[in-house]
Amino acid sequence: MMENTDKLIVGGREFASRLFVGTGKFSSNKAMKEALAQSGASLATVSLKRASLGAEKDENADILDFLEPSKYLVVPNTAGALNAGEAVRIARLGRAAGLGDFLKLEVHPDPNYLLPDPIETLKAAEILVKEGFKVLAYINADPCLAMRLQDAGVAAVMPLGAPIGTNRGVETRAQIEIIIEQARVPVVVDAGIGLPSHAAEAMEIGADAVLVNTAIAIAKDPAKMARAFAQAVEAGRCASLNAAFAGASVKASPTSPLTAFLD
Amino acid sequence: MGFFDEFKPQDARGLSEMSKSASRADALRAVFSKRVGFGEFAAMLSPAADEFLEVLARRSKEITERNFGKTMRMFVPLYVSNECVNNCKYCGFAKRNNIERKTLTLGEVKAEVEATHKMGFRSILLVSGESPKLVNLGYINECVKIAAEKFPSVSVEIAPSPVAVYRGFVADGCEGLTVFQETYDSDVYKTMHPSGPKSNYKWRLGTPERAAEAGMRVVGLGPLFGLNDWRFEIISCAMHAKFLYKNYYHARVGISLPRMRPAESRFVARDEFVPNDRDLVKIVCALRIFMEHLAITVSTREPRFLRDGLVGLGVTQMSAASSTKPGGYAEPESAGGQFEINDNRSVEDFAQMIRSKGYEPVWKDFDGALAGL
Repeated sequence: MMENTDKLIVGGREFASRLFVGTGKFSSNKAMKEALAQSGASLATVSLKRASLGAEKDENADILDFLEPSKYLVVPNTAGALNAGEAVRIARLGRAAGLGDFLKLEVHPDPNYLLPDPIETLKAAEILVKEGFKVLAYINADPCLAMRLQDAGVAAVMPLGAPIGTNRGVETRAQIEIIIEQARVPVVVDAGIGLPSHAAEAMEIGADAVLVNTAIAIAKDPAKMARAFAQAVEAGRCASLNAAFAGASVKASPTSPLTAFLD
Repeated sequence: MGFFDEFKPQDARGLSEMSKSASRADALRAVFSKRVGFGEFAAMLSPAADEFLEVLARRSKEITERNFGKTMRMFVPLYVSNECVNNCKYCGFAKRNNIERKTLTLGEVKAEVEATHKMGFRSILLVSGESPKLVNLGYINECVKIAAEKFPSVSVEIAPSPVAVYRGFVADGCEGLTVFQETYDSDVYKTMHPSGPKSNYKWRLGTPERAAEAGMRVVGLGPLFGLNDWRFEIISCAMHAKFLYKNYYHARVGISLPRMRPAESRFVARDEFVPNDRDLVKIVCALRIFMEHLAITVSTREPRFLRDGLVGLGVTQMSAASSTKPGGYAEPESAGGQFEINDNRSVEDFAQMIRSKGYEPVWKDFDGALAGL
């Protein structure tokens, strides 16, 4: 058997699966736990605002109790933060509560479409990276912003495929292709992925991983949907490494270069 | 420019009339429309749309689940005072009513906060009558502070106040404000609110924007169904919500859909002013299809079969086991209530019903750390 040399490394840590899963919107913590198990995900994000972060345990905010850090890395997110200051504050609180250095940074002043604020996200990233956080930054599919965040030292950029909860797929494909082409850190396509085929598409164009939440959480059978996404992510990755034609890439070139006669 | 300047009641009236006379074809077009504007919204509320209620419900459920997941946010109202200088014709707290009046001492507020926290709630709405002398804003601010010690999310439903007051509340941990316009028709408003500070229609109408201006993250609106043509009211309220979306994009906007309940005032609403059960479901679904991200609240005013049925159809937050009497959680036999509740299940029974429908009751969905507390 060939050794698997295709490894995903984010923030110095190796991840066995290229599927990341969010933990919101499930019908119960039990359904969430089962879906996570079936997804084979190597990373699960959790909203700090839904957890109890104080010293006292709160049985009505016990989402953390249903996560299994032995199976996947639990990464807190800053959902609910309207600006850099709030994101930094809740990030510190999460770390103080023992949730480690990995952090999904999301700053969305608009509570409806939850689109990320690029200016506040960059500000927060600069502060958090200096404090030793391994920042995975949720952004619009903006290649310049992705570069600025990489300059600031983030561990990964997470461009959205479509607004959160829309299940519309990789609508920002052209921009994501540019981000992937220029990336110095892993690119994780986040938000808007509604079907396994969307996840496969993101992987085919060269994303390093995808993050899925709504599509699994509200599926008829979340555990089965999670499994479907896991298969799609694997298929997409395999295709991106092995496809004979590079039609998906902006770096595409004809198989027989028109200038071959000069050689 | 505030909503008072922008609001054109005649537009809402026109849409309401259009809704009442919409044809089957109009309704059908609206129900399946890709782009939903006010015209489609009004047509979805039409009598002709009754036939397509199931389609509306399916569409609404899909949108709700995508945006809010299979969850229901839970909150509890805490009445701190039933003192009131207003004389609203329909309200149990009206000045003229001979009920036992009570304003909780801060010690009693603490006891109520602890009792509701023990019931499982992590999101609380502080409610008070309007009595500048007996329930001043300094007192409400103290109540906010006491509630914020225990509750990650604190909101208020109190007398309309200036921006500066709301800023103080926000600094002390207040996440949201709810204020019902009751009616968007200024003439009806005058008749229903004959005296006291609440008789000022314009000041009340500007309250949600002042709250958003002050940094409140959640702003709740609502008509009180029973005072006027319900179609006019919900269309006007939707206009109000759209105005807030445009001008105060930081705020999460919500609409509550209270229907008149029996109260000490013995006010009798005209039947045609009160949406019937099917109408109420239609309103929920049409609002959801029109405004994907809108928070929609249905309280314990409504009967249990309706609340149960609405889980998943578009409603995103519900209260349970509520008491409208000041002190009613720690001491059930306390002072006079605002209205009779209609669903008196225990919190655990209610949560169990939500779970049995495949939804998760969400108690905590905010953290004071976000607000710097």
